[in-house]
Amino acid sequence: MGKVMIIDVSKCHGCYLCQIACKDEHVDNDWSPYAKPQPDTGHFWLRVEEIERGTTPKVKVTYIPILCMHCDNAPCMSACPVNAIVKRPDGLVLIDPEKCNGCKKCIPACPYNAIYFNDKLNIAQKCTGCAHLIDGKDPLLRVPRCVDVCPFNAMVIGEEGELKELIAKAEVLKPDYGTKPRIYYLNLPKPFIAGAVYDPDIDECLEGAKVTAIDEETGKTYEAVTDEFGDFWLTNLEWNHSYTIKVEKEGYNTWTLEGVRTDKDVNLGDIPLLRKV
Amino acid sequence: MCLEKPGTMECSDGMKVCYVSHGLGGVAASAEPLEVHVRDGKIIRIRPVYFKGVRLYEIRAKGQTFTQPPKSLPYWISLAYKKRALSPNRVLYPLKRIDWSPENRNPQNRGKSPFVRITWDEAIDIIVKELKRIKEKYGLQAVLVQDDGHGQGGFIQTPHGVYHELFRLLGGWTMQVRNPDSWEGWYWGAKHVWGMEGLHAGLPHQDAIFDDILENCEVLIFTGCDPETTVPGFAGQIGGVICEWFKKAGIKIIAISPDCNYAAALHADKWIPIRPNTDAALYLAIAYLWIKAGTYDEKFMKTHTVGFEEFKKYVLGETDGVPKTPEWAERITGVPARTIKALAKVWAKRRTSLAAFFGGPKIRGPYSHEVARIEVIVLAMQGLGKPGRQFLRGFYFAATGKRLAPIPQYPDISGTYVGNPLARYTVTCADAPVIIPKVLVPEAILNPPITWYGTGAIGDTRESQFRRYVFPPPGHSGIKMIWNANCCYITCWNKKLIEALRSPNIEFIVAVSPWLENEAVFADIILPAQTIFEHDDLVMCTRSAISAIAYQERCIEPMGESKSDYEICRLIAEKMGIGDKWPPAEELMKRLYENTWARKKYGITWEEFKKRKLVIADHPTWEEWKKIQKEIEAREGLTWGARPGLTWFYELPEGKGLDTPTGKLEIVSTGLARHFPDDQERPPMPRWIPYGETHQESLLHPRAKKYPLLLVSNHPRWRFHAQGDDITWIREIPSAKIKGPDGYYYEPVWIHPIDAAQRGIRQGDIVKVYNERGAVLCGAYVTQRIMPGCVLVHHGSRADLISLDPVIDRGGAIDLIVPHKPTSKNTVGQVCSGILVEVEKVDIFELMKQYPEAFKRKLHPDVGLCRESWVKEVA
Repeated sequence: MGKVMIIDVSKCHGCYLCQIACKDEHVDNDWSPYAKPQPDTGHFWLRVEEIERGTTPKVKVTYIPILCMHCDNAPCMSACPVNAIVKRPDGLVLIDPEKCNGCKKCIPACPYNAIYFNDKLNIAQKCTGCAHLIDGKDPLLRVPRCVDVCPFNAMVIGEEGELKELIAKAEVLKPDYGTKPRIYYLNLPKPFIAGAVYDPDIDECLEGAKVTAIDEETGKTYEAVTDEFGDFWLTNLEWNHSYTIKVEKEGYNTWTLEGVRTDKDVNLGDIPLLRKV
Repeated sequence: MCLEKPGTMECSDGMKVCYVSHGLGGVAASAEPLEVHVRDGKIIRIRPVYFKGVRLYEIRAKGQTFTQPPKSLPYWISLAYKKRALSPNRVLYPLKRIDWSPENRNPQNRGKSPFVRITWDEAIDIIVKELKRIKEKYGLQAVLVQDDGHGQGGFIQTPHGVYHELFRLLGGWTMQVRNPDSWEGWYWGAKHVWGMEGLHAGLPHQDAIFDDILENCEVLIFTGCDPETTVPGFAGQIGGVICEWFKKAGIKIIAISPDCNYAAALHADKWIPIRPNTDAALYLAIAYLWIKAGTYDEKFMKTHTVGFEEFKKYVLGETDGVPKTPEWAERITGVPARTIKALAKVWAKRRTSLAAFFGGPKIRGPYSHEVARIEVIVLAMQGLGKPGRQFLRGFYFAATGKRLAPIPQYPDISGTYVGNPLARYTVTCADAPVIIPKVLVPEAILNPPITWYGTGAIGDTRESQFRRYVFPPPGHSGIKMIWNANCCYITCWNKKLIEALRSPNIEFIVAVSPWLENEAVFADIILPAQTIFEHDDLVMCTRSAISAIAYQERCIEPMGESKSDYEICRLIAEKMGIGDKWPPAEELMKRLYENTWARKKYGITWEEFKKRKLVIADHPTWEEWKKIQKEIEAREGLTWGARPGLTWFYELPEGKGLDTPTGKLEIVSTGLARHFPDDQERPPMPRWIPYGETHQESLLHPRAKKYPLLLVSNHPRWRFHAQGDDITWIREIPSAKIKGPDGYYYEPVWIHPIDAAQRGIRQGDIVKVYNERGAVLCGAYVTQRIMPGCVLVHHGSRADLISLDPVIDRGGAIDLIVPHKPTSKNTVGQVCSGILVEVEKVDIFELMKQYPEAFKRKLHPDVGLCRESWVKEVA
């Protein structure tokens, strides 16, 4: 029951429109009783996290919009000594700007760093889910600004029941905190191991080499075949696992490397295959 | 077709909906409009327009359908644009430099002295007196008018070019002609190979091109191409949508560029880092491999090109003793030989097209015409125009096709491009009796006489590049006054203008600008202009896949005493006695509206249009679109529009039909051979030229010992050239600005970890990027997204000069240290990328002690330079 949001990271182009639309709505606009204006800078009720991955030339950038998770087990609510933070029947969590006493206890309580302090007004503030729009107060717009503006439809908001299928495929950020977020993510980044295979004798890229990653703990294997540039990308691995990498091609000695850790994305660089004698 | 019903957009709670232009490409053209919600004279929000009742386009390819979401696709600047209207940087009142008077002009203090507020009456009084004085003493051609390029997207009130028209009506002026700075190499080079006359600056027409790309292209090479950066400023985020099309169509994207740019980081399957300005060597090596292996279209080269035999000899090393092998190219480009070999194989075997969505590092470097010409030749070698083998240019506007838009639109919609005739000066200089190419303006002021060839006007022909000019022409006094309505020279061109502006020969400078930016602070009088929100206007949406026309109602009261550029022209026209020649804005809007498709095709009268405020045209169905192309073929045979892109040319048995003297692809250019047979920098047949008489920006040159890094300066992601640097919500974005320990927001310089470590530089350090021309301060952005040995600073940051001589800039205006000489000696393009520099950490607090006056300037904590930095409030 209630509202959920699903963000498909694979659709995010990192345009920052959601971050800017949120400011457009909440800077210098007073939506009391839902929220008072946020300061011009320094607050990111929705922020885009930018993650640079890999090393030259195997580089990618992933963008993840992060906002208040409107948790069902919200630690900010427990931290608040004056019950200024309220969970609505539709699932949205709001900080009452009148009740907030400026004690700042909610801010470190949030594992998502979603709460900001307004020094001028002496209150804590965060994403409201644009509740003032969802509640139909504005005849022109009834969805949150971030959802409205995204050119790539990366963000969807709807009723939990209607979005069951997508939720089943999605995950939440920092599940170990047990806060039960209502913001779900599809296609959160998984690490890659990439490289380029070549024959040093003739200085040519090697196409058609089979590259295997073996998870040293679970034994699970991942495979890729090098393209015309000898490039391979093993994708959808697990974070912080250790892999053995094997590169094989008929007529060449197999190349092996153990202990490749995915604490970061990995670029193995240029891998020479030596011809069988 | 979508017509808003009258009255639907007024709301009971007092919120009003206005439509505004979108995009900052100017030239009276906008992307599809945005919706502004206004209450009590305040902009509450800006959001996309959702199209209702419009039949959107559909491209069918590979069994799939390609289209866009049914809404406008704003980008970061257009969404935050109210911040530009409200910026602490706005010029609110007419300003006068504190130590300028007709008796005591103090030109040496320009760029140093502050300004004081004056009234409009005082300002106009001074201006009219000066104009009359100059007219009598020198003639009005002594006035240089700088009013070109990109800017706001309104139709009548704000486009550049209007002041040229004003001076034409006043009786004379000298026109600064902007060079095609996003296309230099294609304009000065590729045009001599394939013609392509029109407003396309040397790039090929794009009729129905996506029909072919999406169906047939297998590999798309992004040559310094960044549709996530250069498209949005013109057309919103259709560039990102188009990248999704490529992925959906299974096209492999290979990005070749010194930087892993914003599109490459998201969409490229492969990034091939290449040293700036060495792409010509890469292409020559690819040509070498094809020739050796025989894996190119020999028949096409015989039937559709001239001069290939000479090119073959050059590539094989028969003329200069240097075979252009992959190993030779590796040493120059930094691209491994084996990668070059693989690329050559892929390009030959798979249907490969090139894409360049404006600019990109290589096309704005020294001798960029050489790489552009060689690029056309290698495209030709695989059969240019064969299915899937095209040149895909940036999504610019529907009129980039000769007969048909690139994306399906009815020709009687996309072909009825109604421009604002006053904005014609941004694309042509035909009306101007005296011209100076923008790149040569400082020289024209400091060291006349000067001579040059060509105009650089984007709409000008290949042949115009052979015309010789002299400034000043006989009877011309030289420049005595400057009227500057687009203050971006010192941040997007070069620093030599600073010296020119402070020359005692320049008796009077007027700047007109909404914002106090860049060389506005070198003026004597500054007039306050408006943003799009502050007046009624028309919105002509010709810069998107959607065709729309909107009536823009004023959203907010004009800020301060600002007036629109159109109104400023009217005011001066009246005071100078020609008010009857400058009609009221609405009169001109009405008159031009009569030529639009809304009136002609759909019969919507002006009054009805004003009530409805928004008209959006339908798109043809796929079947209709194909039928339109067949009809063109039936009527006119194999020509533009009868086939997608250049396919018609490929299908001709003997390839004639291009705008070249032979009608063919001219590898040895007829015109260059006739007019500049001995030009070593742009010879009749293109060559790899690392350095020469005009430019020495190569690692192969001795200068590189002192300045061992190559600087890339691209079109910026977070500005539109020089526009939008003051938007606080964008300045907070990590790759947009870097906050230094002094609280100032520095322009980032992208530097590889290897180069940073070597110099003891860490993420966030303040560094200087410098060569013998000066130094620019930046914040270090240590990243894997730039090739080792190269650094990148996006151009257009607002100049904030600490010192004028030597030039030291805190604002990160990187073009202050680029060469001021043109692309090569017989051209007037600009060079601003691929420059030798060094980068060093600086101690900002030490600099503060050295230049206390400059650092005393008041700054806004989030915006940086603002009104208070330069305007003295007199009690």
